[in-house]
Amino acid sequence: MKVKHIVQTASVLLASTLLLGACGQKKASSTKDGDDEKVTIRFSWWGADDRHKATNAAVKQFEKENPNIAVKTEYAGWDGQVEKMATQMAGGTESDLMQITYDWYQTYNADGTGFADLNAYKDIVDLSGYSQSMLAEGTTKDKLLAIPYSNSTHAYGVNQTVYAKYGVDVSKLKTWNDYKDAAKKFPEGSYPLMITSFNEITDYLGQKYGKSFIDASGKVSFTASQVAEGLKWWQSMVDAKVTPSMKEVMENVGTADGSSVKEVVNGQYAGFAAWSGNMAAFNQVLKDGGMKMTIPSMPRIKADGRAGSMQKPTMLFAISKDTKHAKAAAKLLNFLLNDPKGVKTLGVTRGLPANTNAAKILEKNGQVDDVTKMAAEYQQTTKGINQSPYYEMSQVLEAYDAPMKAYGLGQLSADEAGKKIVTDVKDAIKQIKNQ
Amino acid sequence: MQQATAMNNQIKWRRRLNSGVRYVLLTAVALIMLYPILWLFGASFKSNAEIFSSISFWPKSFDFTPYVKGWRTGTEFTFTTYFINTFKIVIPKVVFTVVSCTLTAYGFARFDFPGKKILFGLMLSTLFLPAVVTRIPLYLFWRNFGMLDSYVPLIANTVFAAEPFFVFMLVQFLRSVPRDYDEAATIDGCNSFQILIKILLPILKPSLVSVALFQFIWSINDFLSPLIYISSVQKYPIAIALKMAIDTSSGVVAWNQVIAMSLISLLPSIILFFTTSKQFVEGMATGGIKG
Repeated sequence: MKVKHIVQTASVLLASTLLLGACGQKKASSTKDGDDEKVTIRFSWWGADDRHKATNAAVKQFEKENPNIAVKTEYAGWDGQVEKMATQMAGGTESDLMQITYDWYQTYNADGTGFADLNAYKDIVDLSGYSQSMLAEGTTKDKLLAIPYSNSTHAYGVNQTVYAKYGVDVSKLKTWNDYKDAAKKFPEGSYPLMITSFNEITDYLGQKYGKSFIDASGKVSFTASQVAEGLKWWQSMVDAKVTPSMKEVMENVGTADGSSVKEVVNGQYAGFAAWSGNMAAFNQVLKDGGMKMTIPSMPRIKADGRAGSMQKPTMLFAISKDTKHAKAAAKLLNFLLNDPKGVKTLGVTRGLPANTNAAKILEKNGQVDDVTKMAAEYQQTTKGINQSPYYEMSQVLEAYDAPMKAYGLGQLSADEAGKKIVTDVKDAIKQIKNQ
Repeated sequence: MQQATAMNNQIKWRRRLNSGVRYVLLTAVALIMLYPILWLFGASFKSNAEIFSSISFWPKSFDFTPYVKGWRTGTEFTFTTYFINTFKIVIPKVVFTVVSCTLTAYGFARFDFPGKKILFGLMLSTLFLPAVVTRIPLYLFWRNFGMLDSYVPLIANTVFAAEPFFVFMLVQFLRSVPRDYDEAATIDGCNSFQILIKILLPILKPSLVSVALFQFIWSINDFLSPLIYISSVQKYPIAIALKMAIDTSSGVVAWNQVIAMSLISLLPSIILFFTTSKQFVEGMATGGIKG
């Protein structure tokens, strides 16, 4: 009896909370603001110090030009952002304008109703600097729900100093075989490249077949035997001493960011694969140690072959669907994306803007530093393949990462691992879609 | 006679050797245990490359700019603001926890009321409830009260003794205190509240210190709840402020500043621990004995 009573009370309480929640949301969307009214909007992002400083400064400039709009900035480091976003989206309390990742775009937006449709504010936000394909990345069911701020390509950086020491000319690194040749000149324990994740295998498969591992709709494009082929290629790189074995990678690198790995810092691992936006961290740490980094052209199967490296929007801006002040938020968005003042103040703290107009402003103003320029040039010359927003969702990542590691450690054969990756990833995506 | 002094000397010498070996061993082990803290201190003066590549704690040069820059932070506020915020959360939490948990434990330990066993069981079962499960419902709850972005959601639960671990600890301790004290006090004319204040609290003191210390350290380290409930940067506590600059995906993190500030943030907990360590150790030791 008692237990039943408790359960009843609990469920009534729960139901009332949900009801109250629903009421709160309705209230939020029913009020509308006039243009002249003084409004306060919230703007959230994550990042490191330089981004905080630049964005706060840009927001101040915006407030000066728009005295009717006050902007409350909400920012933090990356840690915990996933949880914060999840609770805020559940509570309908997300900021009016927010910086989101590509996988959040998919997580909160599977049905195309997670964020406000920006097509309604086309007269406020100038999109002329964006190509159709870039906008397509933030479009679901004909609704423009998020605008990519910058794009990232999966890149392969090398420690030029170490390569030179062993007599390898980095400008001649064109194919994977060139890396195998370079490995012959490297002493025992030093490697020309480190392959640590499935991303590199996806790149290889992309080169070979010209398709992304998962397509935009969440379909796995490769068969088990094709994935196994990628795994075997990786093993051939391990055998040729291009890259340390999985065991060594797990011991020395683990889940740490590549630029904080001892072997990278001291030049033992003289090459690294990372998203182009990450290259600055590698550059800094090598510079601290008196070495020089460069990004050669994407290694390929054949020198004139397809580049096929993965490509994705790194950061997108979206406007909350619950916002009362969508117009004000759109104005701020336009200021950050297009206004020369906003663009110059933000600089490259979010990478080189995907908006070509903004990128030109920065280039003219000499604000593009060497690494960003290098990464941008690499991006322009590398014809990449758009990666699916599903690709980096944690469930999917786990599904391909675990079998890959098991293969690397010799616990699974290439065929078994390939089969497991394809089935597990399919299951994971199915699960996400059913949520 | 001579033989006796020789014997005596031998014993003395052996004793000295004995304690000498002991001290050397203990110092060596203590150094090993403390090395990470030492390294942290050294690392606050190093460049990123030095931090990641060397396990020696001695930096190439001493330069206090990481401390100055770290204190200023990359935000609009300095660490002073974040420290004050932290204490605005932590001090009420500790006070409320000590008061409410003592009262609740007293109730469970000394009084008989209908449903006591079930209620005690229920309270203990919340100890096993993962925080993840209640996060979103609680968030919605506080949203509907309009109390997001304030310290209320962080502190409120301590007013209602919603820390089963502490209640359980105090109940165990109270059980070990003989009821004879209570009876003697009753004969002398104390009511039940006076028994708690005049008789039991002084006995409980070491335990209460442990509760306060635990709550202090846990709250000062709590990262996720403030992050979720508080959205204004000016209200952030140090736990979030420390991670403000960390985003490895977007450029260069000045780790020496982060480490310098972590060291400073450790200070309140360390100072509190050393000033109360005698009571704390006593509380832990006696808490384990059951009468």
